[in-house]
Amino acid sequence: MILKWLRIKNFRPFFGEQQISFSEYEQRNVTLVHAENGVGKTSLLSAVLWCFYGRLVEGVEQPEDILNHEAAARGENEYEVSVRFSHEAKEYEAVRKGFDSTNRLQVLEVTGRGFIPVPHAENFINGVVPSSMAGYFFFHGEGNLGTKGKNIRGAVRDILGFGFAELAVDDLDNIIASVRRDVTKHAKGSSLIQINDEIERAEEKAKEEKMLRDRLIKENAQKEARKRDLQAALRAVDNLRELQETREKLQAERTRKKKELIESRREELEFINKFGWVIFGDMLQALESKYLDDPEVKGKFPSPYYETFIKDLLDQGTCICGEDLSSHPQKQANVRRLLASAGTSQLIDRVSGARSKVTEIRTMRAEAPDQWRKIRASVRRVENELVGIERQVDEAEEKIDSSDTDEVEQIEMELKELENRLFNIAVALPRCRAQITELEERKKSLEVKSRQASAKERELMQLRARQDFIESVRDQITGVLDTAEESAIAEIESRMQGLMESISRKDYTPTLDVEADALRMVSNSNIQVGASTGERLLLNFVFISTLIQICRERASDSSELLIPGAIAPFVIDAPFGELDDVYKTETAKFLPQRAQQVIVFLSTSHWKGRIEKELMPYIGTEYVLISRRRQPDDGKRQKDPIEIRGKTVEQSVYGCEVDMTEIMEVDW
Amino acid sequence: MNDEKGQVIGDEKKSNYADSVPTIDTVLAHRVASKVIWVVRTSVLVSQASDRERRLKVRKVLNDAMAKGVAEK
Repeated sequence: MILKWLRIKNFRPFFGEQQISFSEYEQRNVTLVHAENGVGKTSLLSAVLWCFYGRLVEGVEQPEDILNHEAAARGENEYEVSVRFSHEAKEYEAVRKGFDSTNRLQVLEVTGRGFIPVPHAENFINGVVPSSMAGYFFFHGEGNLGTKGKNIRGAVRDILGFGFAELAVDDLDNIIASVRRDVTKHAKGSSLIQINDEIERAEEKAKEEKMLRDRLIKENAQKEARKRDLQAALRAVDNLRELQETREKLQAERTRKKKELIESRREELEFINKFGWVIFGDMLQALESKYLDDPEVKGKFPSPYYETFIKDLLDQGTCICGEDLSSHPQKQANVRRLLASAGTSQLIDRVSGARSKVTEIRTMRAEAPDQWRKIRASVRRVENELVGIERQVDEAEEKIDSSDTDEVEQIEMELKELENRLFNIAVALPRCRAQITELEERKKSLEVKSRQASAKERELMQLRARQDFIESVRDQITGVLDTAEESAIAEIESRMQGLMESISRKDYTPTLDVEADALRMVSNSNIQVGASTGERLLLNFVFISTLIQICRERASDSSELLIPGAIAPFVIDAPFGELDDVYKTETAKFLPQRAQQVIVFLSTSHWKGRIEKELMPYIGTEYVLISRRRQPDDGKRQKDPIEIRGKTVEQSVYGCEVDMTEIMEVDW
Repeated sequence: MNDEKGQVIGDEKKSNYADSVPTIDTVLAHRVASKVIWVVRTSVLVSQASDRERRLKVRKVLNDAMAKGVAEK
């Protein structure tokens, strides 16, 4: 980009339409603008930035105050900055018009046949000189970049075109955080491994129980067969046949009675389950019934009047006594107060529910004694019958035992052992079957959970893969940025050292302290040395000029991740600041070489000394900003004279028609 | 995959993740990174989208890339 001219209208101190043309010469590439402080140097620099990017120089006072005061006083409300520039062998005109607090940029291509609008003006300007790099080309020398250890790393990253890549990293980090939250949420509910372990354990346990069950069934069959054999053997003994048959019948009857007793006792337990709470609730229901059935309370609980009734009275504006409530606010308020204690449908439902529960308790309480007596009688009857049968079995056994033969004694002993074992099997087998059923049910329920967890686990894996994927994309970007930054810092340091060697009278080396984000001067023995204000400014200036040199070299960078650099003029406001004469001279010497086009804003104090001599051979166009004031010239006011090319110009003029800054070309 | 880092990531995914999970390689990540930056750039400069709108566009790029990764696999 080469700037051709700048046209401003009603922009800050510049009233009306004024223009400044920039030097486009190759040798005399410097455009010099003289102005005292507060007259408009920074506003002129801001005008370029505002036209291209819609912003002013950072730190400028009252940035919202753009419309010239004189124009505003005359009822005008539009302001405008146009910049004509060339870029890649074409000519363009950027025009930004402001109206109140809004503004709009238009870029036109200037051709032999007229103006052609360029689409996406902001995008186009950013393609010519990216917004993130503009601050270094259009540089406010009195700004504090670098002098307070601020923004050094940011400046390097800006000039390397990290802007959109860094924004993309921010966005990716934001998305990664959101995916990570989802992963955490899913991971909390995921217990697939634990569930599958439990299924395995249940399966193993069920397998063991099934083996036990089969063993018991087999043993039971064997023992029963053996029992039948022994019983047959007893029956075969001559005088025991009848006795043995009697015993077998009694034993069968005993088994039936035992089952009957178990059933009766189960009924007992069921009764307790069903009526136990009624017995405990009996006292409570008695108290509640007493209250609910009290003739004094009946029909008045929860409230003698209903909410709807009170609301109807208020809506109609008439009390039940016939009093007009609308004309008696106090009475109306009294009626309204009743709403707080009125019965609502919810309260009525609750009371009704309580009444029905009390009735249920009362009915059950009445039925309970009869049922209990019947169950107890049944249990007692079966118990007595069982005792009788047991006695008969014992008598039959005694008779068989009294036969007193070795053979019978041996059979009896084995039968008793068999009975004991069969009893144990009879107890163990149902327990074993129940255990198997329970384990199988548990396994089924775990399998359902496992399927659910498995679905979650799949989602979790996909989420983790998504997180990894986005992180790898982010790492690609940060990897490129970090590598570019690292090599650029080494390059910048090396170039700054070369420049400082030619300017500085001291044998100090400039370094970029990335950790501390600061520019430093170090001695030959690598010890940091304190720099004066002027030296810090010089260091800062050398840093910026190195950055724009690198930016220029990156103009054709075709990296997909980074914004390419730019070729642009170096527009610098107050580059000499607090430099002493020697540093001013050295800076003035190398300044014209820093860019193809250099635009310098200087105050009279900066112009003094040898700067004029050093810069003069490079000056292509030259301007003075004249401060025009309405205040009358009483002869005492400072007229700020400056001598340019052998002629004295007064930079402050009084007794003018308007307050404004005028751009005056030095053309003598 | 020639890139050492990409190889490690890719192999790790293959051994740990289900079939539906795409492999992550450096080439794909680089291509998606370029696309993401392009979307961010046009969102800011051309459509002047809000942060939320811009991130939605970035998400779409990532979703498309993930879906394409699965299809390619």
